Amino acid sequence: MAVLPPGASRLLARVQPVAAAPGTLLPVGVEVWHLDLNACADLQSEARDLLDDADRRAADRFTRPASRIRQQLTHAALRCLLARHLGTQPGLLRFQVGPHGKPELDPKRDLRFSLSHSGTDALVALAWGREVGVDLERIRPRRSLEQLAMTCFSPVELAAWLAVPAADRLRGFYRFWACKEALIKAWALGLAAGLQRFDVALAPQTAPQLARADVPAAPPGDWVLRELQGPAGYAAALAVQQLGSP
Amino acid sequence: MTSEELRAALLQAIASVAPEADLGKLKGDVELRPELDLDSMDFLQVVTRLGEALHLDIPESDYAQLATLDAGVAYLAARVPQAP
Repeated sequence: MAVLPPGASRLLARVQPVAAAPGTLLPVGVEVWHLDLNACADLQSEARDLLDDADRRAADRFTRPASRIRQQLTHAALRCLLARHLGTQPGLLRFQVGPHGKPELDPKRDLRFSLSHSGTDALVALAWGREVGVDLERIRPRRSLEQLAMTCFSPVELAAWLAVPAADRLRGFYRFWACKEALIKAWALGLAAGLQRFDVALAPQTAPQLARADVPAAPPGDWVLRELQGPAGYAAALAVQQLGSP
Repeated sequence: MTSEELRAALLQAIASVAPEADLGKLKGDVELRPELDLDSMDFLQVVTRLGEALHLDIPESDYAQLATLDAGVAYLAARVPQAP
């Protein structure tokens, strides 16, 4: 097992494990980690040293310092988490980008990952031997929420969301959306999956379900959804391929 | 429409969703979402408003072609009637 550099150990000491929502558990072989970007601001320079040249060049293309710093911290944390599992150095990992923009290890490994950031926080999900997607959404009021819901949600989801009490509707919107986004990330399709082509079902005291999927380009198999106990003020969800899927 | 007009339409759609974004320094070949801190719903709204402004149907399968300003202008130029 490779010894991680001190910068990696310091960064790993700042990431916190994330649990599934009360009453549910993360699937076996799946980890989710939370990174508070503000709390890691003092590790910017160490984070940059953990990247490879391609990552550093990508970071330097950003005009906004905040975007550059976020990219460096989140990618360094991702590298450290992957390297810890794979027994290598963070800077030696190489990535490639799939046709719809989802990054993956190059060469492809059994260890899959997904990264999401929103506001000042980020989540990294790792899964052995199955596809994974994670989404983090800072809950904030939006103009034209109902119009947006009509764009994002299937008719079944829209009806379920409109049945949510008005006081919970904003949070409910983000809960639905986080589940949908986690799925389209796990499928590595992004918005090209077609947001109307599948239904997510939310119910109290139970894990969300993928109730319908008509997405021919998605990887085969069944999909497990979990809401996550992310940072306060956020909605977060995880989607993973069911074990035993082809 | 000219390329400049298409670029202006795209920038206007972004500004309508993210009025705080500093678009003056935006480089044409940098990914819009991470650079401007747009989440996926912001991006969805940008594309929706762009489509409305240009009377253009932009399918979800094409959204990845709008990842940068330059790519977005090239995508639109192939679909919106050009000025002679």
